[in-house]
Formats: sequence, C-alpha cells, structure tokens
Amino acid sequence: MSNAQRLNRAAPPSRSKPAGRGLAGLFSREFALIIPSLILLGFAMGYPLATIVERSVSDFPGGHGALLDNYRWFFDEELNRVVLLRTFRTAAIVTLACLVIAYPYAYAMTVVGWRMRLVMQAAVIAPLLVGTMTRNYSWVILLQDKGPVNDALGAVGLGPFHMIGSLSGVIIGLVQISLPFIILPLYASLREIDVRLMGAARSLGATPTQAFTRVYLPLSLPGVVAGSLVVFVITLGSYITPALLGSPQQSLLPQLVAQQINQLLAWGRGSAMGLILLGVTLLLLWLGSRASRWSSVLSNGSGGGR
Amino acid sequence: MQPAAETSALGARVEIKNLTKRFGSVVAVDDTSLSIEPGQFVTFLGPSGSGKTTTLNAISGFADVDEGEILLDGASILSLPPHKRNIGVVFQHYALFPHMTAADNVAFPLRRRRLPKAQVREKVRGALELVHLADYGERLPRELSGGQQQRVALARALVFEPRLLLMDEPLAALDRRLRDAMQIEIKRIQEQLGITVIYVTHDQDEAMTMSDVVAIFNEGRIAQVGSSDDLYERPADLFVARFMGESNRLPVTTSGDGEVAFASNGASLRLRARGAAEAGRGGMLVVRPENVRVNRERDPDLDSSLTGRIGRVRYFGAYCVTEVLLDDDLIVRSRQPVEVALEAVEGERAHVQWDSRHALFLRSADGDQLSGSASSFLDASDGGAEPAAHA
Repeated sequence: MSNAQRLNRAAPPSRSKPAGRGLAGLFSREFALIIPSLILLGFAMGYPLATIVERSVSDFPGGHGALLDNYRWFFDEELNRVVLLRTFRTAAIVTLACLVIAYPYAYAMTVVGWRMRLVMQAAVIAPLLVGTMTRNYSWVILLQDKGPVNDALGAVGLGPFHMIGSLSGVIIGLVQISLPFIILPLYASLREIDVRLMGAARSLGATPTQAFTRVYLPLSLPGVVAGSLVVFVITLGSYITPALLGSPQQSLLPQLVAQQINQLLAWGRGSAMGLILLGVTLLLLWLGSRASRWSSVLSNGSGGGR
Repeated sequence: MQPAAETSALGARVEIKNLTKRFGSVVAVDDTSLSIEPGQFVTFLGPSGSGKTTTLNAISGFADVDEGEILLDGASILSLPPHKRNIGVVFQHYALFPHMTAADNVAFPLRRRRLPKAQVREKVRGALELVHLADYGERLPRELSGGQQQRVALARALVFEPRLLLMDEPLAALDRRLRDAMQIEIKRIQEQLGITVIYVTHDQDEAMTMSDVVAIFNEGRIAQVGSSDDLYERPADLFVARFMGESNRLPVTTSGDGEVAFASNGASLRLRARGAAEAGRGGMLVVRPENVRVNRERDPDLDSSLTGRIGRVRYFGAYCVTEVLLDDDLIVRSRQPVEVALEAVEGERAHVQWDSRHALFLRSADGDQLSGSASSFLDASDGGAEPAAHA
C-alpha cells in the first residue's frame, strides 16, 4: 500500500505523462524484486494448471467426447456429489472446531506477558517443524482402537471409540494440523484491538458479555474470516490425512482425484474434479474477502435493526 | 430541544473517604479524602504517578480499592460493577468504537439501557447538537479529526445523562489551539448541564482556567485542595508552589515572626516573608516572577531588595523574563513588560526587589531537594532559584 502511494507521489500527474510512463511505472525497480517468485509461480503453478485445464476438456476415458463431458460425468455420478458434499461438510466442521479452539488461545496470547506469549507462539509453530507423515502416523498410534487415547477413555469408563478409519479420526487430525493457520492470523488481528475499548463499553453501561459481543467480537471478525478461510481451503485440499486416518468408504474429494489419476489413469476426469474443487475454493475466497470487507458494516450491528 | 440538557439539571455529590490503593508494594493512592459538591468542576492535578488517575479509576470502577469508601450522593458505589455506576467517562485516547458511526457510538449507552428506538434517535441528535456535530452522525471515527472524535466521545459520555462526568486527560492528544477551544467548550457544556465533573490533567493552565476546585496530587496524597487563586497565592507547601505556576525559591532560615535570614555572600540578609513563625526553621522563600522588579536604581517602595548582575533576557512577546544572577550564583527571574526588560544590559549590576506581601516562607519537607532540579516537570522556564551555570 505505502509503496504504491509512494510511487504515485513520485510519478507526475497521470494526465500529463507520456504514454510510456504508465508501463514504466508498473515495471519499476521494485517490480524486479518479485520476478523470481513470478517465474517460480509460472513454472510450478501456471504451467501445470494450464495442462490440467487442457486435459479436463480433451482427455476422455473412451478416447473421445464432447468438450464438457468430464464435468458432466462428475455431476452425473451420485458418488461424486456425495463425496463433494462430504468434503465440504468435513471442511466446515474442521473450520468450526479450529475456530472454537483458536479464538480463546489467540485471545490469551494477546493478554499474557511476553515470556508466556513466546511459549504459546512456539507451541503453535512447533508442529509445523514436524514432518506431515510423522504427524499423521502419530495420530494413527494415538487414536487406534487400542491406543493411548482409547486407553485413557477406557479408564474413565468410556469407549472404546473407533476413530482410525473413520471421519472422526480425519477431523481430529485435520484440526490439529490446521490450527497454526488460524491461530496466527487470528492473533495478528486480535492484537490490533484496543482493549481499552472494553473499559469504555463498560463505563457506558455494557455488561462484560455485551462489551465482548458488541465491541470485541465485531472488531475481531476480519481475523476470524481470514483464519477460517485458510483452514477451510487447506482442509478441502488435504489428501494425506484423510488417506491415512480415514477409510476408502468415507473418502474426500482429493482421494477421489488421486484414484482417478493413479488407479484409473483417467487424467481428464481427475483434472475436471480438481478444477471443480479449485473453482469452488476460489468462489469461497472471493466471498470471504467480501465478507471481511462487510464485517465492519455488519458488525456495526446497531444500525437500528434490533 | 435538547433532552440531554433539560433533564440532568443537577450534578452528583461525591465523597472520597480514606481511599487507599496499592499496586504490589507501591502505594498509588494513600489514605486520600475529598468531598465534591454537586455541580462542581474539580480538577485532579499532579505529575504522572501521583495517584490522580488511579483515584479516577476507583470512582469509575476500573480499579478496585484496597481501603476506604467512595460515596455518590451518599451511597457507596464500590460494590457496583462499572456498567452499573452510571458515571460518564471520557478518555484521553477517545476510545470511540471504530466499527460504529459517530451516531451509533453515541447511541451505544442508550441501547445498553434498552431505550425505545425513537427516544434513542432523539437523544443522540440532542447530544450531537450539544457538541456541535449534528451533521457528522454518519461518519466513522476515522473520518473525524481528533477534536471531533473527542467531542463525539464527550457526547457519548453525556447522552445517558450521568450526574457525574470523569475526564482523564481528555485534551492531551490535541494541539494547543484546539485544546484551548475545547476547554471553553467543555466548560460551557458543564455549566449548561450543571453536572459534576472530575477532570484529570497534568497541565496547570488547563486546571486553572477550567476548575472551581483544584486538588493537587503528590505521591498518592492530595497536597492541597482549593480554588486556583488559593493554590497560586497561598500554596500549602513547596510542592504546590512549584507545581502551580513559576516561582523563585531562595533557601532561607526563619529568624523570627514574619522574618527570614538569607545567607548572601557570607553575610546574612534579613527579609520579610509571610508564613515564617518560630525561628530556626529551614525552608524556601517563594516569590513569583511577576512580583519581582529589576531596576538599576533602587525603588524605595519595595521593601525586599537584593542585588545581582543581569543575565539573559528572554523574550516571550507579551512579556520578557529577565534573569538576575545573585552574588552566590543563584538565579532570580523577573517577569517584566517588554519595554522595561529590553533596557537591561547583560552583566550590569541591578537591584532585585519585591514587596514582602508577595513573599511566602514554606518549610522544606523531608527529602524535598533544595534546588528541585530532579523533578521532571521543572523545565528551563521554571523560575526556581538555582545555582547559575557559570560564575
């Protein structure tokens, strides 16, 4: 933002500048800084994506077909629709669970002393330093039918619960893996809230609960939306955790994509499924960005509606 | 019509009794008592850390109290949570809710009190009119200037018609000109509504121009309570004398009733001063710069007289401050009309004179440093007598 403003100020008024200056402004020296990442993005993301798009409309199991046949197949098969719905439902549950755990945690991070905050930050980031496979297999050990979790539950007369090979195990694993991605943006957002506003609300007649719901919560919504969106998107695309902790009977969309490509060699269908997932994800991202822009308006809440 | 103006015709009586508040081993407020009459504008004045804000927070309910009692119209409020005290609070940092428009901010306390919608609208309009922001209701706080934000905060603190308004350095974040305008504005509103106001500041000019009563805080205690001129003319101790306005302070010892001895250049000089009683007490002779005359010729009408060399003359536009170096390197400052001061020639010998009616003897308190140079609120323009930088 500030860079753009600085550039604007440095440039002469747009009316009077020669045609070439606009482009020159875009490709300024600062632009050079992002060239390496642009190149990487082009090769690692742009090219494969283009290939996938191309295959989804040209590669058919029977050898030939109409342009959108792969997409039509996806929505015609009931299993696909069921899995798509299950995938979104799972992502929604994981996101909600993450939010419930992350919000108090992120809030606590804003009020503790700096030492405790460092510890809490380290606790959030440490799991990211452990390999994905390690973490998933740890969950397999912990959650298996005769694992420590069931032992502990058994000791208090509960269970045993069959968690590995079911959606519940997948959800537990995904929540743990996604937590850092919601706690960090949420903390960044909560940190910006002036806690003295709570005191002001109290002095104006708000109970502690009202001070939270009318002032703190609305101000934290941008962080809630940002964090939830990241978790939701991560969960939608996760493959390893459902594959290791879940069961083929309750597979999620990424597993179905892998099955099409790895086992059935149906590149076209797999590509179409991937693009559908991408499309829905982008739609949600767009809605989310709108929502966080609206959140200030919505949270305003008072407007006279109540 | 202005509903806010009509209904809260009278302010609350506030009684603070033996209030004590500790933070760990630090005593922030130490056995402080104060009685405030309905409708009074009372200022808590003092350096930072003197306990004035802690006392204010005890009244608003943001800080709990270790000992003592706070009564509002005779009833204790200490057991009430902040949201039930019905006291308006204006903060230095405005504390406007950034996600609400100005009107919604002002409506907040009314909605918490579940007022009917029409009444809310009416009162919000009245309150915004009171602070001259009737047309700014739909703006968000970030779209308002600092002064406008503070006025919205004021409207919000007044709209629910509290009988007591607390203001914690509300103008500290504003620039000088805006501050002056806001002082007049706040005073007008207070007089119009007739409510009791407790105003915390460390700015003595602000305290003097606005208050009916000023309470000077020092190290958790109230050093003196009185009207502005009381505190200025008759300070109870050296701290008050130093904190209210500028003063020259000469180290002296009392030598009799109304008489002090000033050791000057080996000789002991007798000077008259109010407040000197029994002999042999150490302290300061305090005289304000505006009561000190500097003349080449000795003025026979002024009964207290010292001599020294003229030092720097500082020009302030409306007046000048002339420094005179006494023989033992103390500086006495004199505030004089520009045309008189500019005749002075640096280094020339001159008479430093005042009428002894303006001279006050104040005892040195324990630990009160003679030159007072360690105190942060003493700046270069302070008129204290202190050793000169060079001989």
